[in-house]
Amino acid sequence: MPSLINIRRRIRSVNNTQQITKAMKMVSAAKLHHARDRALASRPYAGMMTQVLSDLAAAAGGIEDPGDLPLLQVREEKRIQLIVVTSDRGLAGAFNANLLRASERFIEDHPKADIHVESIGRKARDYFARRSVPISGEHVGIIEKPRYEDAKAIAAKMIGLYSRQEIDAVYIIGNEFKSVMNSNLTIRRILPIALPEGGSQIDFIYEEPAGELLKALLPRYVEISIYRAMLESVSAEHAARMTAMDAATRNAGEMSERLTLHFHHARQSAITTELIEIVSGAAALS
Amino acid sequence: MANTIHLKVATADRLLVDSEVSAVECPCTTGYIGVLPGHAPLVSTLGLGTLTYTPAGAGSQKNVTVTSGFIQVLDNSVRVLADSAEII
Repeated sequence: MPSLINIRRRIRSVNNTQQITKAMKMVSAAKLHHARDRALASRPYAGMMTQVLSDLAAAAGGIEDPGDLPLLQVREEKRIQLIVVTSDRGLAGAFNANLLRASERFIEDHPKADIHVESIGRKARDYFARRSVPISGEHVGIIEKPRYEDAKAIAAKMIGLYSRQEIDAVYIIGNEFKSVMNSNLTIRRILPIALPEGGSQIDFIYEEPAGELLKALLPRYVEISIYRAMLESVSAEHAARMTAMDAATRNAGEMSERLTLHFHHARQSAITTELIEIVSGAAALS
Repeated sequence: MANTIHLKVATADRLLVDSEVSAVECPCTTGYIGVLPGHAPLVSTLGLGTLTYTPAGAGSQKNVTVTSGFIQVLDNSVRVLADSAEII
């Protein structure tokens, strides 16, 4: 049986931990709010971009000659580039573990392909550095506050590799924010681009040939896809951390309660023992 | 027929303008184009310059500086996708 001092020490330590987890939960809640704002702010652009692209694709009546537009060329997937979007920090429950497991599964599902990983976030880098998966690039420290320029740089790299035919497909895997309680794991192919459908068939006046327009639009579509994946991941990360820290705070509370009860029992029995000793000592004297 | 245009100007990280306007003038790579209600569908690329629009109803002209990007005109709505833009 642990001594009273030991129990008291445990209680204090659990309470301290609880304070930390509580603070982390608050911080995550605030950060989640900001992350949601940013994700919402990028939505109009992404929506309009999809709209314009689908209209253009429909108006062009399907692109007959993708030779001119390398980003639409579908090739056999022999060399795949996988972009893994994780967080820089841990303590977010199963957030990163689930994602890394899913990317591992993705790699297993494509045994014939030569897969390279581009990691966004420290967790992905650390994970793949310990495995025999070739890493083509790593981006640490950009996921905390995703900037469009960062997404653009990654997109430029992918587009370059793809148009030089050094890779045959680019997939991005990341968490997508659904609600505070849950997020979805999504794997998307971003290259070659699958043109969004459902555009209205309208005779547009083109100031430039449609091919030229597409040539300029497609890279931006890749950029915004990566940017959105990053924003979604950040939201999901903070939501996951919030949930995890909430659970941790609750567990710490329960533990502290149990320990306090234990402490009282121990104290009471110590007093009782002492009393019996005194009483029996007095009885022996008389 | 509606006599206003719905103008939306967005960059990747925010929506700058989302309002009913009566006229838009914007800097395309081929030169400035003016858009009034009832304009034919059009798609073009944007150059560096100042986009000017007149809010519907009373109101003075407003300017937005845009760098490169795209513009789509369709059914009295103008969508501007700018790489970067700033209201001035």
